[in-house]
Amino acid sequence: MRGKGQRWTRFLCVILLLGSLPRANLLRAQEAASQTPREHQLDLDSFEYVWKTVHEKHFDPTWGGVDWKAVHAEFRPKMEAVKTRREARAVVRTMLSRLKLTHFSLIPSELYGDLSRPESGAGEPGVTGIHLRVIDGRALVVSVDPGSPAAQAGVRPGWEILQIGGKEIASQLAAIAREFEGKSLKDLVLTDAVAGRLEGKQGDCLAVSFLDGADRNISHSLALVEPRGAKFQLGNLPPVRVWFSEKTVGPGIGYFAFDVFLAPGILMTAFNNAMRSFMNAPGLILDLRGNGGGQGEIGCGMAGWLVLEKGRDLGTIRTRDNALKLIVRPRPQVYPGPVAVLVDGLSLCATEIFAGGLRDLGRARVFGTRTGGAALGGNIERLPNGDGFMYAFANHVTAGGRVLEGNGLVPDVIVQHTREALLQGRDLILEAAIDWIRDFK
Amino acid sequence: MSLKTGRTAGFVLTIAALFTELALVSVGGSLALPVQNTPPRAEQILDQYVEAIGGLAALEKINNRVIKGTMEIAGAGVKISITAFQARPNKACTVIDSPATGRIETGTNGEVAWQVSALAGAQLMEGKEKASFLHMNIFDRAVYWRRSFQKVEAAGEEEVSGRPCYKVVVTPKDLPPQTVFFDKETHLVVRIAMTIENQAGTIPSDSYLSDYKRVDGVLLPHKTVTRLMGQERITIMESIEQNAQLPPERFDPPTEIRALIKK
Repeated sequence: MRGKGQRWTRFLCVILLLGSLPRANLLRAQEAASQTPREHQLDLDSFEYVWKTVHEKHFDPTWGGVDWKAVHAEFRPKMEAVKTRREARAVVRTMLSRLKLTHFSLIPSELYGDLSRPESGAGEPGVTGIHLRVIDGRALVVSVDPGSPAAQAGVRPGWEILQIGGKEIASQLAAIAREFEGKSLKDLVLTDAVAGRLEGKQGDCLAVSFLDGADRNISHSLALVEPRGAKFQLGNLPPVRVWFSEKTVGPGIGYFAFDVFLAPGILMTAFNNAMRSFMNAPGLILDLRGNGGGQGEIGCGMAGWLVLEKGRDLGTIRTRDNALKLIVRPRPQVYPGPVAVLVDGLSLCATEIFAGGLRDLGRARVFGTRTGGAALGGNIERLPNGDGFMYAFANHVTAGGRVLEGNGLVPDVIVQHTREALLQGRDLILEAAIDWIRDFK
Repeated sequence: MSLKTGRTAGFVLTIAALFTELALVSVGGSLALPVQNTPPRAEQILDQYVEAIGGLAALEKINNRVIKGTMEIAGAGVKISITAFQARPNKACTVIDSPATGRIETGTNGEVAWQVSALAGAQLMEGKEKASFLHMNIFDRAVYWRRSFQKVEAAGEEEVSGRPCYKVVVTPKDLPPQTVFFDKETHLVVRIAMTIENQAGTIPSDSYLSDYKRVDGVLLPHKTVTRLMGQERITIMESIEQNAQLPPERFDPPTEIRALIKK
């Protein structure tokens, strides 16, 4: 239910796990070009930088049991033999995949936007306004941005996406589903496989075929437009979109949704204002479905509105040398009512830590489906060849002692969309949360 | 993806610590070391240092400082602007602002210590966190090291960046010891190893001070590189103004903090 901004953060988490992630077309041509001797050297230097960083900064000094020096010996010759940037990246990604963890990934240099360029325009990343989930092997529209090309074309929640750009997607989804069966990242990878194809450059058009509510095949040519939300860049993180929505639902229940834990100046200001206005609401719903995570301290700041007791925490992060609790500092005024948190397989990292932490503190009930299980503390550095390199310097354990990485957070109430409900304009997860709050004693 | 997950508390205190390291740098006492063959005592090393940076007479003319600079997390592409106000006897206020943090103001009037941020709202520090913060913000705490530290002990010699240094372990009352490294030739502080305590835990911090420049007759470091939580943070003091015209209310707790104090 989110746009491109947060898809990028999800992309960072899983890029190494999926060999063929959809990416912008501009990438394909550039990374396939033959290297000059200087570019080759830069790739070699980058390889060494990556290996050394993992060697020195991985939170586990045993690298999860992997013989990291032997890995260097194995991959260095392969790196020396590469002919293109694509091959170089593949070698590094394969090397990193030996760690079997999220948050160890490469970010192609081509995908770093130039913030000095205008906010929007031709050539900038563009989207259709469709948000989807893959449910039971079918790519279903779950929401459509108001006023977007998809909305103007009449695309509705519950429609199934059959083809994009003339290519059907079912077989790819089936293959991915087999590969990721049982893994916490399955929903994320499936959804992004389709969502990635729905992206391109602003101004371009994309042919999309749907199965509509009456089971008819319908095709639309959808223009790609600027994604929703404010453009934001933090350090070496590529630009993302920060989006939030505040409203009341049901019997005056406060509702706040956002797509990423970033840009505290924007997000926390909005959240703080929302909490002040919701202080007398009968309940609060935090919709974190599709939230790709970000800065964990934002979750601590939000939790300060919800947790009355001092000295409580959202778990512990452990680096190679330290253990730090994610301390919640109660606000002068704390919301006393019931809190529901909505999550799904695209809820990652800071989102999982926040939701899991609130639940362990007995402060929230979690609704939806299992989260993505990508909960590590990461940092991004730029490599000599210009690529970004994300690595985990810390792991996380909830206050209840659970490790979310690789496992995800299983909601208290498991509920997911169905095509029938979506076609009726219903959101079953949100409804379950509203019902719980309505009946809350 | 979690970037710098859960670092707010330590992060903010660390920034404050970086600037209060200036207080350690501008110390007092002016005993010149006699020529000797035996290793100097800690007291002698500290006093010699005071002399090296300008002497007590020059230092005591300084009543406040306004420091403007930046802190960069090396390699991560994150740069934060910082403005720090410090005044006798123990007042401080540090304001940082960046897309990564929003605006965060941390301060003390010598009695209460606080933080106001978009992330965590208004917070009064308590316990060890408060004690540590108050200690770090004693103006020129090392000038009056006999009062600031319960114990000072020489701890041998060790090279820092290839230069021989004296090690001195200084211990504030009820707080963990700090190890300070003095260059044997210049007598300046070049490294401080310490731990920062707050609610989140205990965070080892290792700072390297350099780029000393004379300001109003006092030598002050203009660059600090701090290794903390596996990262390297580079702080550049772009300007240091001393005896600035500060309004009397500069160190008063903000409105939100005053409301908390009344509770």
